[in-house]
Amino acid sequence: VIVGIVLGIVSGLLANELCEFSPWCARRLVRWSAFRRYADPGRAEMRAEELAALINDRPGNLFKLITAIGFAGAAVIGSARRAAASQEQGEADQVVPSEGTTVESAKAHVPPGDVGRRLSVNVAVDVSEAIDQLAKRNGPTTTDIVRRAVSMYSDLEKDAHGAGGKVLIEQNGTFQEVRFV
Amino acid sequence: MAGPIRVTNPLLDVLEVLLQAFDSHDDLHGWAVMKATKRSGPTVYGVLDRLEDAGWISGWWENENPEPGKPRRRFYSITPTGVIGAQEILRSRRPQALRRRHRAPGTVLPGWQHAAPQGGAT
Repeated sequence: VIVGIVLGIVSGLLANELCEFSPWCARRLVRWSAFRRYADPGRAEMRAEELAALINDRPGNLFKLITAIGFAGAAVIGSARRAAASQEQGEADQVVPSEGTTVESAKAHVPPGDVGRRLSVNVAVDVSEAIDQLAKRNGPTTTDIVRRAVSMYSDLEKDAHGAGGKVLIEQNGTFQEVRFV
Repeated sequence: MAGPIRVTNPLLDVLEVLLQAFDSHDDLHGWAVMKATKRSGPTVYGVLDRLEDAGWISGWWENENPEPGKPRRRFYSITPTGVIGAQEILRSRRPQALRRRHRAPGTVLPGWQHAAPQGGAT
């Protein structure tokens, strides 16, 4: 009987504490959710304040907590999706066509519309200098091929400025490596 | 699809609610939109994000919550661009909503209330 009474008192106190704790926990949770969901800190701060007010409007401590858990769950799912998409994009960025790779298979690893963007990053080095070096070595025909390739699918190695270099060009639907000194 | 908005059922619900608020010269906060649409918070706020990004709604903070000590709320109203876009989408996807709107202008939805004096739009 005594144990039952003690347990009753303790569980009552615990329930009371939980009721006091849950609105605070809900406010913390929605704030965390906002910063997890939005990459823009300004928007995250705005939503954090807004969601705190929303939690406040929700009747009942349990509902406050359930609402906050809902926001947190959505934020976790959303950020996981963004991370997966980002990883996919990163992998696509790392695709560098190697010699003998067909253009079609290289393009299959790059999201539609991404070829031009990736090219603009990779060709940040001085392309014209590389083309001039190739022209001196191989003649104007190669220059024309390289110009066309650079404008399409080529990937210029970062050591193009050095003593030696190579460039991948597209010829007849296949990437070919052209070395120059 | 009209405009840069991906049309979904929650979007249609929110647009319907915002148009009715526009008719009754009311502004809504997020909780009111959730109650009126019977949609979950993350769903409603996802829609509000898209509408705000597209310039279809504008948001502003109330100066202070009418209830002392409570956090201030952010209210939303549909912009003229939003009204045109919303009408276009609803006309093609949910024409009965526009008919309801014309039949009962100024209807106040549950959970709505007039906003406190307006703060700066953010």
